[in-house]
Amino acid sequence: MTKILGIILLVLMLAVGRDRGLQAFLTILLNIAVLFASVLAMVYGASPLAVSAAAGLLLTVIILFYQNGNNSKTRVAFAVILAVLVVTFVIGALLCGAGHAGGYSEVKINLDEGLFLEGNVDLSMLQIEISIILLGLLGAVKDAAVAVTSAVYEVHRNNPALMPSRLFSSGLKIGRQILATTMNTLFFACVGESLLLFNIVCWWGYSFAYFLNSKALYQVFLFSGIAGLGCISAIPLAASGMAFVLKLPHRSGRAGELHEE
Amino acid sequence: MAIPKSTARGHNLAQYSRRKKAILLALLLLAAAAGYLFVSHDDAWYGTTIAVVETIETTHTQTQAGTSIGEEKYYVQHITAHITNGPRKGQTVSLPNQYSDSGVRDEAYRRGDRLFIQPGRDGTTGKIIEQKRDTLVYLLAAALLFGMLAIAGMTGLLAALSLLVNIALLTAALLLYQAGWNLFALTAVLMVLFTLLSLLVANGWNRCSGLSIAVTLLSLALTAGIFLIVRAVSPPLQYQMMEYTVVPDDLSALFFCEILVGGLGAVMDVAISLISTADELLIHNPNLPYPQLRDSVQAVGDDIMGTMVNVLFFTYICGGLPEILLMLRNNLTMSFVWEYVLSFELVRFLTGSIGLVLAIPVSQLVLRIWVSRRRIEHDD
Repeated sequence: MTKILGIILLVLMLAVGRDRGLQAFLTILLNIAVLFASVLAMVYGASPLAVSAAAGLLLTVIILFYQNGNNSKTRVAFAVILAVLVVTFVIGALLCGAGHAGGYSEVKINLDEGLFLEGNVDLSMLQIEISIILLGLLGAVKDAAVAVTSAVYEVHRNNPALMPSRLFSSGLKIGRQILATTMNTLFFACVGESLLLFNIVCWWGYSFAYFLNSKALYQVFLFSGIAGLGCISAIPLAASGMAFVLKLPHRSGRAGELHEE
Repeated sequence: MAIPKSTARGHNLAQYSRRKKAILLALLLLAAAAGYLFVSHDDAWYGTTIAVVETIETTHTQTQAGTSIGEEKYYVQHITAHITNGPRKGQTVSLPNQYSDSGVRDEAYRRGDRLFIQPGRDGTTGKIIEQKRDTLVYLLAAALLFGMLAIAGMTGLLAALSLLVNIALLTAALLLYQAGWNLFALTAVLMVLFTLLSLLVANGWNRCSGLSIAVTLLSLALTAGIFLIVRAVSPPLQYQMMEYTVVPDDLSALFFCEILVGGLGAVMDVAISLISTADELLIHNPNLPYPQLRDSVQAVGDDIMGTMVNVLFFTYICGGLPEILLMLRNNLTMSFVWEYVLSFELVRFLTGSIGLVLAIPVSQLVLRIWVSRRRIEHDD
């Protein structure tokens, strides 16, 4: 089934996007390769946090510089994504630690799920949870960062005399539109993934209070909520970063290079 | 907003609206703080006994060999906690707890954790049921809401509101499903309602929303068709191994529903981006010929396709990683992992991506029909 769907996707991408479609498909294959390598590294004993930090860097480079080219827009977006990753790592680590978000949720344990899997794995499930939260938000944060830096760049190109504050506010304006739709995407992807969980909760008649405090809900909410926070923080960072870079004094002499990109 | 007639009045209006905004913000912050105070002191509202961890004594009890590499250390925590609600409020209980370094099915509790407990008969011991996480859920939700308000203002608030209504709709649909309603009919209705609600709340009723709704629903219907055909001709997936399964006979239908809901957001995102670009062009030049519209939709589509596919990829594939790692550390083979975990995540991701790529030609088709209808109306 995956093979047929994969071929359909490849054909569609080629038909609709031609070389851009092929590039998008190759990016996905590269992403899969990086994730596969990092899973293997973790399986063979590397620290999950270190592996995911390296994988996060590598994946950002792939989805940013391979897909969007190396220019001032993507360089700013790169810095923004790194900053967002650091911020979300701190928030994620704090929230995962405070809410004990690692490992099997009580709903899964009640269902006897994964009973054939032993727990003596010598692998901190808390660190794994923090790692997947960080890797999971890469796509959404890149989307927001690139949209905002390109918008600010376009405004600057059409009107080079604009003040940095005006550039910043036009970046925020684009960010506003991006944010609403990205939140929508994250929300539905998250609801779609946890539909069976919600179904079980209704089926067994778990009380609202039990579900609200459960690890099952907490894991789902952390995963998509922190991705949302990452997008929210990426927008002003990208707008101010791009406005700052475009208005740096030593950059003005290299305006020609910027225009070429 | 009304356009001010004179600059003086405009200035007043701006000042007025700024003051109103400041007051609104202050009120919201106050409400959020009050909410936090309530959630962190709501123990009396729970029927279950709640205790706050005060001291912990940890002793290392045993070390077992790891399943594939390393070793697993087990510990016992002697927790003393004081009860914060119910008839025993203020009393101290001791709670035994065992945990391991990996923490696959157990927790290492920390000082200050609030736990739901089941007090023993003797009154001095108890059993931990689970952690009380409502304060943390509240904090994250409040942070998201304020972030959206700060960046997007009213639009952000409306978007958050529409998400809440969507959750209510989903709950209602699940309850109806368990009351015996047909899952496919429910899914179809749910899709239409989700789409209408999200797009109308965000943009209001106008040409842009109308066309986006048409594009979203058409692309989803096509995607559903493709998925059903592919499912019919390929060997069945091992549905019973999905997370959180309960009714074995309905699993394939539930999975189908999951996939459609999961892809809906991405398809909607692409539809809005494409249609609003075309709409912007049509506002500046209402008689723009179709080929130009098609080309600009194509250009925007090329730009966002790769990005959106990436968003879906990371959101879906990363969700399955903990399970995959557990299985591999348990010496299960790659093919097992593929069959029982990875194939589900990949099917989800691939179907969602097919939907959002389809949204590009579907947008062009809808615009073409719309433009030709406009021409007929124009000729009349």
